Amino acid sequence: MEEKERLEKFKEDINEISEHIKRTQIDEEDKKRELDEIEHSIEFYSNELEDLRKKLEDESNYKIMISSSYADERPFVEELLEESFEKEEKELISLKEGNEELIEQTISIIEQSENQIDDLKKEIKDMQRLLRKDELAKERGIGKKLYLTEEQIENYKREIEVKEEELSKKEEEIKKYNENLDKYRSDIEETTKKLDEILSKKNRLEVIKENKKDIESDIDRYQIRLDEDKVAQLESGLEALKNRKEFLEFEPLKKLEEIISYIEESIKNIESNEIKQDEETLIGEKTEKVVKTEEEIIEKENSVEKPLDEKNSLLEEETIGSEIKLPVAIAETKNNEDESIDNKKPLYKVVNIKSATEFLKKHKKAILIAGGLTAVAILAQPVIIPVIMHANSVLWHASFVQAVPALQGFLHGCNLFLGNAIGASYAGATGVWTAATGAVINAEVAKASILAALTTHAISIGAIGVAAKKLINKIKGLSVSKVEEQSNDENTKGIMTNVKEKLEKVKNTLSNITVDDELLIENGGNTL
Amino acid sequence: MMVDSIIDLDNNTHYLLLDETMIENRKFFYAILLTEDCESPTDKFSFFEEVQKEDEIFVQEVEDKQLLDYLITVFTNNYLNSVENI
Repeated sequence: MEEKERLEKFKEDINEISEHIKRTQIDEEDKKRELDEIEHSIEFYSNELEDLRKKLEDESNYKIMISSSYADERPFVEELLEESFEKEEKELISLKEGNEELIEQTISIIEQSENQIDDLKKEIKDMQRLLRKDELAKERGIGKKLYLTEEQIENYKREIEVKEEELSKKEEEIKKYNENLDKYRSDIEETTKKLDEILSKKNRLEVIKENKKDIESDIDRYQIRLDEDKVAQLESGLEALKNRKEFLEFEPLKKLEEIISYIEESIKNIESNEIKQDEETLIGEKTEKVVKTEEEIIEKENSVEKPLDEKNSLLEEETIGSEIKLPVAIAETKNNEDESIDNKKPLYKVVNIKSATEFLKKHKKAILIAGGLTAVAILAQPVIIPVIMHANSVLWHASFVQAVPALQGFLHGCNLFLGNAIGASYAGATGVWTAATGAVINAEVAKASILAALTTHAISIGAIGVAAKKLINKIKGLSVSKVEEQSNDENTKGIMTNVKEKLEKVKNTLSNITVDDELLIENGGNTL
Repeated sequence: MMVDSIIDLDNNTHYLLLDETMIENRKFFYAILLTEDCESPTDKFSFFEEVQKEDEIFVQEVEDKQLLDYLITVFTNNYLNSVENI
């Protein structure tokens, strides 16, 4: 799709969107009301936001404030707690120490008792040994003098019983002391726990007292964070309100109108550029440079006066402007396979016919014809291009002799355009067509092109044979003697010699060609 | 219609007839479109066939390529004729 068509389609789409917007637009009253509300809210929240931002700028705004009653009572509470903890701690320590002393004493008593028990056991054992020894001696009748009396034996036995009772008591006592010892230890353990608790409380109280000192000089960071969060929320809310306001204030239809206007302007530019591009293409990239060279030559030559001894109607009837536009193009032609002359274009009624005499006084007919053929040939019949270039070239030299630079420039522009189409180029520096000009002047190419063109026409239309013959004969008989004879100075003669040489080449090539109307018609040019 | 005439058509266009030729009793013109005020030429060229119907004259633009080729050949020949005499 061409750019212009795309833009046209785009324009249509935008128009459709505009219509849709018109149908779905918010009521103007509602829009105005909402806008008022939004503006009011924006103002309110903006003020709040500003206040919060100011507050956040100074941290002293966040110093923690304690109530006066709490501040007065707090030291007493702390003192009471502290005193209580200390008293309890002392009591517990005393209790613990008492128990520890009891434990120590009890252990000492137990040790003493154990020693006594050991002594008693030894004494009992010694006496039992003595009794056993006496009994054994008596049984064996040994050491009669050492025998214990009955009284002594009884005394030992009573003493053993007494010692055993004492031993038993001691053991009971030790058992009891051990039980006491466990109790004292248990009490110590419990007292130690209590002491730890009291110490912990005392420590916490100290921490509180220390914290109290910090709090009195600290900043409420938590509140700062809360306010910062609130600022972020307010900013976000305000942004949303502003976006909504912008949305409500946006006028899509106006914007679309601007876009449509821009598109229309672009379409106009495209149309304008198309015309300009065609003109540029016609003239070719080299035209300006070459025409300038030509004009320089012409300017030089114009310093030599040349008699206009012969004027043709093509040249004499008009005043030529300084700028002559080259033709752009003809309407595109169809490659119709149908050989019939009929075509499908509409009929237009001729409503008036008038003489063009006045018009042709202002506009040169040669330019119109040459320009038209140039444009038409490119689109319709490229093979005829060399012939048209040839004619243009002849007319150029004629106009050169008669000092009509504008016409020269125009004809040269036409030939550059045509030459470009068939691969011929012009050497501006030397003022002659290069070997590639062969497409124009080169005999072989010209011959092939012209003959191919003419024979093609002969196939389809009998009458073209006559035209072809005439055309070839005209080229054959083309004369440059006049323009050459009219050249006086050396430069002009040189140019004319070039022209003559070129024309001679064409003539020489075409001299070997004979065109028989009947042959062309019958054989369709195949014999050529 | 004849060469060097300006014709006004019923579609409000104006043409200057630059050249003409006959082919099998049919008349063709080589014409250039003029501006609305008929004061200046445009860059549009056409080949018309003259059509007579009930004493009225019509023109029809030539579309057939072969016919166009032929017409260009003829009109180029005429162009050569004219420049040769300069």
